[in-house]
Amino acid sequence: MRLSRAYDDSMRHHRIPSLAGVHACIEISEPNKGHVFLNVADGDVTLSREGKPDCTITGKVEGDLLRLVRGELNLVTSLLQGRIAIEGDVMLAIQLAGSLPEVGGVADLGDAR
Amino acid sequence: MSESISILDGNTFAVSDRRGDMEGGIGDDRGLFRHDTRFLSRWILTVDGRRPNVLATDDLDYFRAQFFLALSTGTIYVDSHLSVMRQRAIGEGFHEEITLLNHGKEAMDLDVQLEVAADFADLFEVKDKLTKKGELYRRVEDKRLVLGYKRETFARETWIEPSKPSTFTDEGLGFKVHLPPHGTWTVGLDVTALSVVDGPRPKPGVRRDLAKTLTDWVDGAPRLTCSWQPLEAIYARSLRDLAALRFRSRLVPDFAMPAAGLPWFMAMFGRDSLITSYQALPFVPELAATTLKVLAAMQARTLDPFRDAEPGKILHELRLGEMTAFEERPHSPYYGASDSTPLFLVLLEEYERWTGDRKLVAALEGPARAAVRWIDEHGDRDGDGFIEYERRNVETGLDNQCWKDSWDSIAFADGRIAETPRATCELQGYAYDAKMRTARLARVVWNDPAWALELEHSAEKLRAQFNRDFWLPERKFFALALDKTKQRVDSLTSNIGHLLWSGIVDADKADACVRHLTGPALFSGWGVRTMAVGEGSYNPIGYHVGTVWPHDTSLVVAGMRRYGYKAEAARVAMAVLEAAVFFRHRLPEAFAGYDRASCQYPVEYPTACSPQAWASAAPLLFLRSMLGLDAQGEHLIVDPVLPPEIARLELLDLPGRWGRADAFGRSRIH
Repeated sequence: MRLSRAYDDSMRHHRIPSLAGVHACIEISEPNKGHVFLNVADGDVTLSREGKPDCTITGKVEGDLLRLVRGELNLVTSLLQGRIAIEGDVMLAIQLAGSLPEVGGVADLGDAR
Repeated sequence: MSESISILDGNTFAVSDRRGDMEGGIGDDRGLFRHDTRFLSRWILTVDGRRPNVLATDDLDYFRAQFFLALSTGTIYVDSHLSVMRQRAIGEGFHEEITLLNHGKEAMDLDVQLEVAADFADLFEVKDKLTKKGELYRRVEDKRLVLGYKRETFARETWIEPSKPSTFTDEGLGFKVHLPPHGTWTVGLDVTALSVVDGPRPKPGVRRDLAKTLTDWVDGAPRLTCSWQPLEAIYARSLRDLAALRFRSRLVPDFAMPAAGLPWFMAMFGRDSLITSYQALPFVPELAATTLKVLAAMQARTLDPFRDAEPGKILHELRLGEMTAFEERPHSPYYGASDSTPLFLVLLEEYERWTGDRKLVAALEGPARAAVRWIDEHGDRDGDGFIEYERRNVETGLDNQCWKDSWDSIAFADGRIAETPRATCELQGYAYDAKMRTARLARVVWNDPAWALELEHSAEKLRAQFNRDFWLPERKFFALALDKTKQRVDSLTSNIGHLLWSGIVDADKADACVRHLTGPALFSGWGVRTMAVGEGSYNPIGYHVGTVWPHDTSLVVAGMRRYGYKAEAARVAMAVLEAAVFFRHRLPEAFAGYDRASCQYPVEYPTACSPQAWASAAPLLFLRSMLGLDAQGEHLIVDPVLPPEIARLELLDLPGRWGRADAFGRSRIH
């Protein structure tokens, strides 16, 4: 997974209207692959290498995070199946999950090459 | 041995027989359940190969129960010398203590066995008799018995740990007990249900905080005194049941919102949580705050046909079992409800009006705007001005996406089922009310008077159109729905009471509606039937076509009160409260619609959930209606009209934006 692609876009701001009113930091992580932080401030999303996450989504199955970011995997079913783990504010993760494809699309997070 | 004893905390619950044994088969709700999965399906105690007999069972607290048993001697002429006590309390599963007492002068050597098994059935499988697709296993490790289930990455385990050395067998675990004369022997058993097998292990044992939490909950609610004694017991039971049904999901562990009902609906339901929170708002407003926050967070953002999700829609149901995990059911979450979205807006406004909590309402402006957009765009599928529904998920989605969600509930007077898309009448009422209320919030909280005007115009247009298109002049009530061809579905149902509650009914049509609701076809004497006697689909024991639902009647009563029919509202409320006495002060989800004159007690509906959140909260809305409680500005308004049976009614320390206030009522007849 090219989470590193996100770093190339770091500090870029993206406007995701459906996240208006949300202020949070969420970490997306895949062991031995890397991680990225999504900093959300009232609908403005910034990608960064560092952050203090309110919740961390960790992929346990190769490629799942990529599919999650692309909107091909549902966060709740992935969690129930044990394909991902969430630490911290689970409700926040669910809230943001619906917007992940928008973030991924804008930031090219989901571009696996 | 058919009566069930339940202990619960949110969606962890254990259902046994009166011995404390669990034998849960397909279609049987016995066992230990957590996260919509049965973690124990067999838990049977024997002593020397025999199952003790029941002396007494005590389940006064919702989270713990005691079972007093004795080993039969086989004859009434010989007293048993062995007592068996089982004390069980809910936790991350449950903790049970088994105590044997030898009352005799001789020592006893006993073989105590616990037969245990887990089928890890999803609740949908328990109900519908489906086959498991993964592998069951069991192992013994570190003095514990582990029962497990695995399907790909999906794994669930039940750990059973005794406090004393035991022997583990294929059937369970056993103890060789030597009891001296007048001696006592006790063993503790921790049963832990693990939904995450490779994560941190939950702490086994009893949740010690539950007793205090319950005490705080009851102490924080208004105090009621009443000349009609059963009402005090009904009120106490309602508060305790609402406490029991507070739901801490694995997905929202820090929040407690009302789950729908035991045993089948211990899950997050948008409609049920919203209506329960509305009914309970003047008493325990924290339920509403939590419900609004959680449902807003899970509001749909994208179009997802499998889940019947559309942007802005509020969820219908969230499940955590295996079938949801593998998308064999769409409940992750499922959005197949057309009323939860307008009801979200109704509750949001009601919450602000009672509590004055503008901070939360300000934070939920985005979800509120998205909800209004859903009503106008996706709710009104064909642009005719009305909300109508038709499932996108034709395999496992709900055919009826209104509160009467059984397949046969929306029927013509001649019994024909209406075709989808269906626009049921109460959905239009909710939409009208939602827009009027949201307009007020737009004006006073979100500082958007232009939008407020727009919403009021839209609501007014809907009101006029509805009163024209749904009214049946020949029968003098509103049609249950418009069907696919916009034909009026002409059955007389309780839904017209929801219309009164919403305020969409023109003043000149209200009287006819109230006459129907209090007339013999709809009013059974114990409450308002969901469908009137004489309609083609009427069945007094049909789930939504003739039974009485206490929550339904509570909204009907609130509606009659809204239109000034105070005495009629009090009379109908009293009927349901009298019915509650026959259910040991706990109103069930529904009961049969037989006429009161033909039977001296309300007849049970066989598969009704109990406790059920909106049935438990119905007495609270009856109280509000009888006392005429309302919030206006910074003040609590009290305008009581009591039924003749209640001479005096007092509610002390009602919370609200005024702080705490008291309400008193006296019957005018006494």
